[in-house]
Parts: sequence; structure tokens; C-alpha cells
Amino acid sequence: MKPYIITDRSSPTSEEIRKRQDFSKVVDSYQLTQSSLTLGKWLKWGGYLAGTCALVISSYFLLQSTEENPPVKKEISSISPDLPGQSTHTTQPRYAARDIAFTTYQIDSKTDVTINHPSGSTISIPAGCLVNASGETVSGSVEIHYREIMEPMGIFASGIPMHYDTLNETHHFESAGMIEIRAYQNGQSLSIKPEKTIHISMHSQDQRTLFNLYHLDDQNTRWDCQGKDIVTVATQGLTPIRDMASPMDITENQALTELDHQVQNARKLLAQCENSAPSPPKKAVKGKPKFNIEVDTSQFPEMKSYDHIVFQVADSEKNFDPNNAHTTWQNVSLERTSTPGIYKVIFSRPDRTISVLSEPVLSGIQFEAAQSRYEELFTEYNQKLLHRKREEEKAIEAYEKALAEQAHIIKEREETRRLAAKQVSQTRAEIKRTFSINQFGIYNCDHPRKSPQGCTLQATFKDTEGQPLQYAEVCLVDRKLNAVFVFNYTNFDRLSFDPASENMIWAVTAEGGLTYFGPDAFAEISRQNKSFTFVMTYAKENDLTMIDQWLADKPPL
Amino acid sequence: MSEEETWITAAKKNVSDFEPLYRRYHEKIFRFIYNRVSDEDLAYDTTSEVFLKAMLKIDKFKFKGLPFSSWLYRIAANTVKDLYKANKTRQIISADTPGLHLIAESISFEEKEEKEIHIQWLTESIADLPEEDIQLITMRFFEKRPFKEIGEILNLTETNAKVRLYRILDKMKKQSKHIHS
Repeated sequence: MKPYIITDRSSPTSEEIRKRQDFSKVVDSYQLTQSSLTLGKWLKWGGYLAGTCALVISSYFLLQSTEENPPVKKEISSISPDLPGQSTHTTQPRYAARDIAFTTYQIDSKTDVTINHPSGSTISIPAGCLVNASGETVSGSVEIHYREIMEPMGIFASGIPMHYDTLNETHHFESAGMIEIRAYQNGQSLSIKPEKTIHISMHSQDQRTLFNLYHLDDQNTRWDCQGKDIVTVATQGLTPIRDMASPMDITENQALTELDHQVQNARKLLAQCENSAPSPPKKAVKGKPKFNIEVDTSQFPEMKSYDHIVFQVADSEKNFDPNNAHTTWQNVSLERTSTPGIYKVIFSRPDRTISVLSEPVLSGIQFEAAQSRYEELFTEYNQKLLHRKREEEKAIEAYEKALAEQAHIIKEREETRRLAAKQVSQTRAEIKRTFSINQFGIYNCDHPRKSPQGCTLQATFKDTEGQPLQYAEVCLVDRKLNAVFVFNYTNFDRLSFDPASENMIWAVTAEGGLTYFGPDAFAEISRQNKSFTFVMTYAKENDLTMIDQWLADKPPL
Repeated sequence: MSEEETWITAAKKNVSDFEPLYRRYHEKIFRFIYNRVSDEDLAYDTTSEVFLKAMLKIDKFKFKGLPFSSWLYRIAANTVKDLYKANKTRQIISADTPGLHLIAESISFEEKEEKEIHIQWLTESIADLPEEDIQLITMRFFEKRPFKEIGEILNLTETNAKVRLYRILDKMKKQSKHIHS
């Protein structure tokens, strides 16, 4: 019979359901079932209880075949090879090939133990704090299984949920470090005694305090906030980055400023020199009207060097009236024009003013003398000019040299700081995030983030052969963040990323292989795109090395 | 040890100590069953049956990563399946409008008018799916369960549950284009 859909069906309230609870009836049925099994025969009862029991008995046998400790399909992360058995309670890895393996430590549960993990993390386990499933304190050897997941590939591979959905938004966790810790004895999982805690000092590459400590619940569906961890940073002989000379300190460089002034001064003097070039003398033209005026050489130094200058009407003067020569003028003044060597001579009297475009000329012996003089002056001028030009060049050279030195210092300081930051990030014992736990499981120093912003696309996927790829989910990795942004098939039409960052997409095929879309191809996606088909590459060993290198080269925080 | 683990451990020794687990999960199991059967009283009866089965098999339950709740849901799912086989009830799919709209959006009916027109087609289409597919759709869209839990109840990996659901929606999308073109 075809199923029947009921939409928006009303259902009993919680109160009504609670009223129908009857545990004693279930216990009665249980005891009846047990006794009937003991007798080895079927019993028939009337009414509700009979129907229930009959169904129960028949179902009991059915249960034998279908409910036999339902198998748990879980991929188990690899553990250190020196111990048998496998760690359980782990989440199913998304990409088993890169899932971080557990390290297993054998400890004596009766003594205080501090485990020093190779990363620099420490786990302090007080004596007698471990109990078995019955709540009894265990003694003797126990196994502590511990692993750390610190970077995007580990987060991605682990399959540990690092996102949660609210009504309209998906939030993702940026992590400052994640650990998983379990304890076992003879294959049985252990717990921490309620009044005891285990102290963990986890190495981290992130010293920011914006992270909270979260614990993943047993169903691996919810992160419970445990409060704040405590961040300690030990420099241990390393120069703290904040104490290093900053590249920015160099901007107040007095010497450079002084050199810049010298350049400006040299240029000014050169311009002055260029403006003082002597004008070559001009020979008077016979027959052209001329007039003699007294020149204030302090205003017109270019005429200082020549004696007996007269002014000849210039060829460009078209309106000269020779009759003006017979007029008695009260005032005469001289002005330069835009044409070198041409002046405006202005004659005025109360009732009239005229101007005549003129040029200073010399005639006869004065001209020859002026010509010699000009040659001397020009030689002198050239020497001065050369000198000024050399001074300017020297000043510019000194300034540029100082500028290059400053740029070199800035670059050196930037490199020093970069190396120092890298050294801090690589030195395992430097940053510790400490917290106490009272139950085993997965702990994460997290900071929730929204999906990346900047560009949103409707995404489709295909392989390099052009075949469409079907994914249940893909993961976006933004290199500057320690986070993996998960997009599933319901929101592939809203795949967002920050185009100002370097990004990759990783996805696991149904066959368990890793495919990726690299950062160079990402950089070529236009921000104007509304949809995009990501051509995914199946990752080989070289590609995994490339990905590791790409992650390792991220700029320090 | 968590509170629940303590209860389970105690219940293994003495079935009367199962009561806290009964109280915790009774409503959840009832609603799971009620969403799938036609009759309210039958749902209550079946709920009792599920807990009885759980009590009978509690010693077989191991703390191996499958949550106790999922183990109970598995028993409930199989019990309901038995009811269908025995014709004790018609198979019911309890859908809700927001869930149907979400499915409609997933297969690209985004406009309000489109959704309204095609909801009827959608409900018929869901009813035509194989039983396990109906369970996937019901658990994800109408009961809003996370994929991990769905996988545990249906004995699938989380990834497989996602991929299966994706394929179901993809198939429905293709069918919708074919029918409405």
C-alpha cells in the first residue's frame, strides 16, 4: 500500500504524552516475557497486555536477528602500532588518509602522571582519577589515547563537525587547537571521577584570547562551551616581536629630511642660475628708429654688462609712429615681455601713454666690445651652470643613497620580524593554552565565524575530463584562517569566499579520494561571476605536498 | 562517566533501573513512531514495545560510539517496519509545510508561487519513493535530524546518508523538470 502523507498533522502535547507514560506496565511485560521464556512456551493474554506481550515475544525472536548489538560503521583512526586494539568513540574521518593518528600512552593510574606530548603539550593526570563503567576507581596500567588537530588539513580530514546552523546562517569554528583524549583499560573505556579533573596544557600557534573552550557532546552534534582557556606565552630567549625595531620607526629620519632639503636648495640655485643666462648683444640696424633711455640695471641685470645700450624699435612692433619721437614725454618705463630680448618701453605724459616694443642694441665699437664681453660672460655663466648642475646631482645622489639605505633597513626589519614570528610559531613550547577537563572526548579552542564574505557564487563541480562531480559537501579553506568552511549540497548555490584571501576547495569523492581546486585558479575567478564551475583535480602525492607547503607558508598571525 | 552511561550500567544489572532512560526518551520515541503510524493509541503501544525490547537487550548494548538514543531509534524504526509488514497500520509520512518548502527549494522551486503549485506534486513524489528514501527525507526535512544521527539510525555512514539524500533530491529535481516542462 502506498504511504499516506499528512501535512501539518497535529500531535499530542508533551503533557499528554507524559500522562501516558507507564513504566511499571513495561516492567510487568518484561517480567512476563522473562518468565515465559524460562518456561519455554508461549502464553496468551487477553486485552491490551496480551496483544503487547504476543507482539513482544514474536518481536523478541525477530530482535535476535535484526537487533544483535547493531554494528557501528565507524572509520577508526590509526593508532600507534605498539598497542593492540583500536580507539573507539572517534568521529568518522572525512579523509582517512590524512586523519591524525592517536598517540597511546601507558600510565599507572595509581600515581600522578604528567605526559609530555612531542608537540610540547602536557597532560597531567592525578592519581586515582579514572573509573570504569561501574564507577569503580581503576588501578594498574591504563591507556591514554591522545591526538591534536591544529591545522586545516587535520580539521578537514577528521570529519569533526566544525560548523553549526542557526535559523538562517551557518557559523564555522576557527580553531586555535583541538585535542581528543580517551582512556581505556583492557579495551573498556574509562571516565574521570566526578570530583577530579585532568589538566591539559596544549601547545598552540595562536595566542589570541578571543577563543572559547568547547567540548563536543557524545553524539558529536553539539559543542558545549566550557568557558575560556588560559593563554601563556613564554619567550625563552627569543626576542619578543614587540621589542624589535619596527619598520615604521624609520620614517622619522632626520638625515633623510636634511638631504631632501639640500636637493630642493640645489634645484632652486640651479633655476636661478639658468634664469641669469647673459643675453647676447644685438647689433643696431641702420635706419631703424632708436631711443636712448636710462636703465636701472638692478632691475635688469642682463643689461648690466653692456655699456651704451640703446633701444631699437623691434620688428614685431607694428604700430610705431615716428612722430612720437618729436613728443616730449614726462615718464619712461621699461618692462620685459614674454619674448626674451624684447622689451616694452612705455612713454607717458598726462594726456597720452604709448608703448613701443623694443630691443636693446649696440652699435659700432660698443657692439664689438659687447660681443667680447658677452663671450666672457657666457663662459662664466656656463661654468656657474655646470657647477650648479653638479651640486644638484650630488645632492640627489646623496638623497637617493640614503633612501635606498632606509629601504634596505625597512626590508631587513620586516624580514627579521617575519623570521621571528615564524620562529615563534615553529617553537613548540612557546604558546600554551591550558584548561582542565572532567570528561574525555574532543575539546576545541574555538571562535565562531560567519561564512567568508566578498564573493558568492552558484557552484557546480566537474573533473578535469569535464565529467560532472557530485559532492555531498565541499570545504573551503582560507589560508589566513585556521578554519574549514563547509558547504553542502543545499547551499552550493551560495558558496562564498573572500577574494582578497588565498583559498582552496577540498572535497572527498564517494570513493574516498581527495579532490581540490587550487589557489591560483581561485585567484582568477572574477568577482562579477554569479556562477562558476570548479574544475576539481584528483590529488596525488605531489599535490598533497603542495597543499602542505601552501598551508605552511601562511603569514603569521 | 556520563550520567546516561551510569544509568545504562545500572540498568544492565537491574532492569528497574531502566526507568530514568525510559523517562528521558519516552516522548522522543513516541513522536518518532507517531510520525509513522496512523493511530495514536497504536503509537503508545508500540512505544512501550520498543522500551520492552530495549530492556530485554540492554546487556547487549556496548559503549562503542553508537549513542543510546540512536540505538533506541533503530529499535523503533525496525518495530514500525514490522507493523507495516504485519498490516497493523498504513505507512504514514508526517510532513510539515516548512519542510516541504525546504525540499522544494532544494530542487529549485524558489519562487513562492512555484512552491505552492508544486507542493502537491512533491507530496505525491515523496510517497512514491522507496521506504528507506522516505525515512531519509522524513528524518532530514521533517524531523530536522543531523546527518550523523540519521546515519546511526539507518546504519549508514554520515557521508553515505548525505550522498543518498543528495541523490534523492537530484532525482526528484530531474523528474520535476520532466513533468513540468
